[in-house]
Amino acid sequence: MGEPDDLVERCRRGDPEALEQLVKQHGPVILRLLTRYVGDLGRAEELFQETWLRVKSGLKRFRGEAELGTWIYRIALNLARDDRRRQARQLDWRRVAAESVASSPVDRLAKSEELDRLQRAIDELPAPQREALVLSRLEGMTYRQMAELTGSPEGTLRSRVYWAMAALRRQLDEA
Amino acid sequence: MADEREDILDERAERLLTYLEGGLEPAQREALDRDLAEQPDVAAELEALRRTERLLGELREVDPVPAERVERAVWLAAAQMRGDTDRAGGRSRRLPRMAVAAAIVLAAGLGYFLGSLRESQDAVKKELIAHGSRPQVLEGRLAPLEESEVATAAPAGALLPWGQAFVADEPSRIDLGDGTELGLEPGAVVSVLEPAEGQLRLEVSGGRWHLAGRKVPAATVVADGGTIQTQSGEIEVVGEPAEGFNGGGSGPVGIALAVFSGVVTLSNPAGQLTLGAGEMATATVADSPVKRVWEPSVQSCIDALSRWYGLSVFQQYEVGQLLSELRREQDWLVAPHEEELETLRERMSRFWLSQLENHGTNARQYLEDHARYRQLLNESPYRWESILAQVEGMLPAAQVSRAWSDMPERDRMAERLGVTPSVLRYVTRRYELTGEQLIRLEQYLRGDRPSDEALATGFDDLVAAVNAVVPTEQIRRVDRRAAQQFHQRRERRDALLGQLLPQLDETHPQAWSRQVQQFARRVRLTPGQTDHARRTAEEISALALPYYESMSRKLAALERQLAGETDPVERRHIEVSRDELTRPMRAWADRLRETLAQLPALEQLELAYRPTDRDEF
Repeated sequence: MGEPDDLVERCRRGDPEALEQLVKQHGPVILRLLTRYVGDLGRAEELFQETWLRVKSGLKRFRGEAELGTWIYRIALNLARDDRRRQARQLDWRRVAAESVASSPVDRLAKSEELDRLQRAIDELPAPQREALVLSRLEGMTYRQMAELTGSPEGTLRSRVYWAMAALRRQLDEA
Repeated sequence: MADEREDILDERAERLLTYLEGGLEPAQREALDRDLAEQPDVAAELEALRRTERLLGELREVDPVPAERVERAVWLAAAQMRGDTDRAGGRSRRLPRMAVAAAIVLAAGLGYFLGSLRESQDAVKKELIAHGSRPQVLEGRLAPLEESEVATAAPAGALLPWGQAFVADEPSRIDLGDGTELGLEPGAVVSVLEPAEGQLRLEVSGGRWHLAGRKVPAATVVADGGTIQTQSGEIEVVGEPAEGFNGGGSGPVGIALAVFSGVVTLSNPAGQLTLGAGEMATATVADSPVKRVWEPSVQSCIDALSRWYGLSVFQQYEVGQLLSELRREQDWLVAPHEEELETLRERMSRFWLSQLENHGTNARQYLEDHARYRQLLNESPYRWESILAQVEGMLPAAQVSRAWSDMPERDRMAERLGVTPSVLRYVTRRYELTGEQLIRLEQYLRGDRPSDEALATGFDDLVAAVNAVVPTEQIRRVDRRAAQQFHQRRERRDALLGQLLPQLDETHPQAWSRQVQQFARRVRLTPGQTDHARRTAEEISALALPYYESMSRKLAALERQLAGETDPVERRHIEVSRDELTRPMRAWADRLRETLAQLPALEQLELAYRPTDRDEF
């Protein structure tokens, strides 16, 4: 996630080319992360634009305490968490599951029934486990990166990944 | 839920996860391998985790976002970042948002003159630049015209200079600010004129273009056919429409236009016409009348399809294009026999009415009418089901199935077929029937009988007809899935019942009613279900309690005997006597549990089983 110092500095100064480079560098990964997290591409695209709006407005306040990339990922992740919470507060959990299946990207892209079941099972996981699993197994982050991003200890994240996998295994076996 | 236990790993889990992630030292790995050989349950757990890991790996390979959507989203975000930096760069003067939104003027066609507002141009230009309203190419490529001062083509991302003209080399989109886009088809020419009076001015000519966006401002379009005033809304303008734009016209016309949203007024010396969403119109030259291009019959088809499928305006436009093409190819909308068909339909329905009322009827006339009707239908290229098939092919599957799962038209069909709406709804959902298949289903069941004759279709007939009109593969697929779902639901239900049904103690029937009440509360039984459970518990307890009272002393004696007996043979003997004594109690307890097991739906059991899983949401 590291950026050369001069890119960070140029971004903070508001250099348009540097900002564009920043979007191009992190944008694709962030959009995929948001899509996997919220389970709906249209919604993810809205959050994606919102992420960059916040990055834009927050750049001047960015003190460089974390890496710029990590800071942006954290903004995206917080937006996705808020969005999930907001959605779920309005809906019965069974509907959440049904809708996330209906609009799941896997539903559209992958033909495999097994992967479809897996995606459904992931959507059913409790939020902290789902988040840890998505970041670790689908986004390929290290536990250190995850800890930096989420603010949770590495050990906690490891256990969440394990329990998430155990829960998935149970769900898939039942199916 | 992710409670504290789930934030902690025990030693075994820690070892397995580390092993899985390849983090074990060789010695630790050997030790684990030894354990795996000795403990099959751990080996099985590891294997299951491996399977899940492999599956997750496969899921990771599936890119959840198509490449073009990534590209589009990144582009928009990048443009957003760049736009802000213009403002951050110290140009502090900004036009009020509404003022700019209202000031965008589009001029199409040659000969549009800007007037004498040169004095204020520089100030306006600065204001527009400060607001970030300088047109920017979002997508595509614009080549400079020969007379342009610009030497190279403007690629995606380029800000277009004032006073220059470009031609679209490929389908291109230009951002006009405030969420408005100008789309250009190849060959369309756009001139970015010097702004005046706070207005962004473009001149577009020589091709097809569209104005779209979430909040399109009012615009003025000047063309050979007249002037277009849009109050607000999305439009597509075809300067020289291809043949068939209006479903039969030919040659160039002054202007042709489709409205996607908002209200648009076309005017020229010959008259004025106001259009709403989904409508199209043309005017050939300035003194020709401005007219709607979709004739009423096409428009009524679009209206019907829009009601059925909930078409967006863009989809209405696409469907309109399709209908226009079909009309041109098949000439079905103005079919020469349309009137005759209508007459025949009327006459045949009168015949059936007379039959019902036992009046004297002319059966020969009916048979002749019917034969002619069938002949005309067979000869006509018009097939509503084939139109539906094509329209449904254009729409997302979810939209089609949503439309048919909740549609008054299907309920009317149910009435015609003589089945209840819920039966037809069930069959539609069960076999995932499309609209086209439903229509073929009705045709199959109807046979030669006229369309207004009410049928009396049995459920078996309906299913037989489904099997006749639906491809075998579809039937197999839905049957397989239904069987799978049924099996899964049953297994899930049994498993949950195993967890939730109360363990009724056959030696304490006085507790059964209370346990049943607890079950009813936990599973959130409906009042009816609760009442049934309560009554059954009372009835069975009424049988069990007298028996329990009569045998309790004997049972207590046997328990005491069992406690003091050490000889295994004697103990077994006492246990058998105790089992014999409590057998009726067990049978009653089983009956009560069976009744309870039948009451709740799977969804009730799931809610009861995982009441706190979603606490965090």
